[in-house]
Amino acid sequence: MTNTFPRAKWCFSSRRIDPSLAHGLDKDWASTKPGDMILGRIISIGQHARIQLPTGRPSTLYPGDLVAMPCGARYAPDQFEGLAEIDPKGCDMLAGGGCLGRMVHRNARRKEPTRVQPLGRILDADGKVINTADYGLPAATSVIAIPIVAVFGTAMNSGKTTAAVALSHGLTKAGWQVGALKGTGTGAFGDFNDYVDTGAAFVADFTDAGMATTYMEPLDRLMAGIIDLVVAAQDQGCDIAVLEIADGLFQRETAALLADPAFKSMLSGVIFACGDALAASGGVASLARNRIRPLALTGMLSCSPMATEEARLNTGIEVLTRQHLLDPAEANRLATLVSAKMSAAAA
Amino acid sequence: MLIEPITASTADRQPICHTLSLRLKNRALAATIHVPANIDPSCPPLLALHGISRNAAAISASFAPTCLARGQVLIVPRFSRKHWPHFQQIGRMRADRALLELLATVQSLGFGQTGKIDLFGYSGGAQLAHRFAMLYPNRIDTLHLAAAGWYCLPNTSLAFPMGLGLGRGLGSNLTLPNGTPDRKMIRNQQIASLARVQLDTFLKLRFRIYVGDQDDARDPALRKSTVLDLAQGKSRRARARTYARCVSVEAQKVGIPPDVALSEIPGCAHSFRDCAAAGMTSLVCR
Repeated sequence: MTNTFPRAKWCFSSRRIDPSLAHGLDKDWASTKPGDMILGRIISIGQHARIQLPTGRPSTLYPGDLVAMPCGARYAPDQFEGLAEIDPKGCDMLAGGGCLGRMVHRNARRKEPTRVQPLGRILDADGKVINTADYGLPAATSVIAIPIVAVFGTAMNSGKTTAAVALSHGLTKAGWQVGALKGTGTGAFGDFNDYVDTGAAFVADFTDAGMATTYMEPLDRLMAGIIDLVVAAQDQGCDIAVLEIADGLFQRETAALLADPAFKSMLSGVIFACGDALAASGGVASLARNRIRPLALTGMLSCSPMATEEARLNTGIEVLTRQHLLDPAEANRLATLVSAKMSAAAA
Repeated sequence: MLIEPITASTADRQPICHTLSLRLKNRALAATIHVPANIDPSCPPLLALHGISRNAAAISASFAPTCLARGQVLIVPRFSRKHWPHFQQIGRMRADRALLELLATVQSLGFGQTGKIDLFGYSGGAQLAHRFAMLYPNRIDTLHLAAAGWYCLPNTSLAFPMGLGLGRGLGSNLTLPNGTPDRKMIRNQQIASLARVQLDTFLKLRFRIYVGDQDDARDPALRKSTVLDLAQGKSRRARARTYARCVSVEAQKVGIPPDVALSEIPGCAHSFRDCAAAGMTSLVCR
């Protein structure tokens, strides 16, 4: 098939969609849903000067460039909060991985968003709007049978991805078939590529479950997506999953997941990334209200021996550095702990 | 990583022997990989570790014919004296990581599935073998320990590395008299802690222990101390018996049926070649 929009730059968060499926456009903006693919034209360059391509490289944007991105909401305290709404007069590029919507809040340190003129919703050959949800992994048909180690954090940039990546690599070196998964967040290739580099046997994120971003998605959709990812990992032969949950404990979707008994019952262990000892203490207390006690603390605080000791004394939970998580023996110990917990729960 | 075929395949389905040289940060590890013509997928690869004489060639020569005949991949590393002066210990130097990297490389090169292995070690190699197995019991199918000089007992009666106890410090006093952290003690406690968590999995392993029935000499290579002599015995033979008994007892304490067999190789002192010739090789490859 030929590509109807050969000049358009398709974004990373739509990487499961074959651009040659695009056949036309509509302008029924009132019907736009999260995940609908939008063809747009760059009006002005702001915060995001580059778009992340499905190939894993960023492409510099210029005014006049055609881009194909899904409509989506975004929650990123250090960048933007935005909603999945398309204003025909102009919309905002909310994320470099590909997310178009309407910005409602901006971190004071960030530029205005890159502006995009929406040209239409992209249709397939049958005249149906192409939506990321229709291109996700198959819905899970089996139950989760592998242990899941979830990585939570106090906030963005607290060290969650560093921890998830280090643990995935440590487990892989210890001989585990690891599914490195990101359960929530905004589609971007940075974390995904970091996961791939660990040597994990299977790597996927929520975009593989059909969501360009998870902000404002209902709990049942989040849960279905996470289950699809974990089952896909185990179908690929994985015997353990490392699941990163984006943002901090108070973020809307993270809080909803933590409060959900079904989600918590899926987890065999939690690692909590925090920036300092006070954050560790507050975070552990917050998790305790959800009946979760982390196996270990990690994150930025682990860079400081003093902060580490403060956190250990105040929470009674061990603190693991990135080097610890990279150590196959340490990773194997954690895997043994979570496997035992899973076996006990199943018994 | 360097891969050199020692003997090129002259025809299809001939056994092939490769040498691997792995460079791990600032240390190198060499290994010989014997790949049978027809790999039996039900037969885990045998990773065979030499002792402090580092005679990997003797290990290869003894095991290769039997392994190749039964379709078993044989992996024989050689820890150089220069890079691995104390390869048998897991502490500051991490021979366990080197072995993991070797196993991953062997699998990635298509020389067999190394997720589960049979692990054999002779003398110092047996020391490394059982310490490796305590950290990664999930990687072991059968653990073959031959004539180890001493053991890490699978209980907390003695401090690591003779046992899995905390020893001096008991988790709180991990500083030297001058106030600086006692890094060796901290490291020992960390390793012991890692092993303690996995003890049940370790005790479920199939243990096959071998020692010459004349391996009673207190030769210079044998570690000797009052505590060790009292806890494990004065000779390798006595210590092998102690270890076999201890593994069985500890398994039974936690309701695990022990699978431990001790074979005393007749007419042998502390010599790999003699033990191999006297039947140890066939016992390992049975």
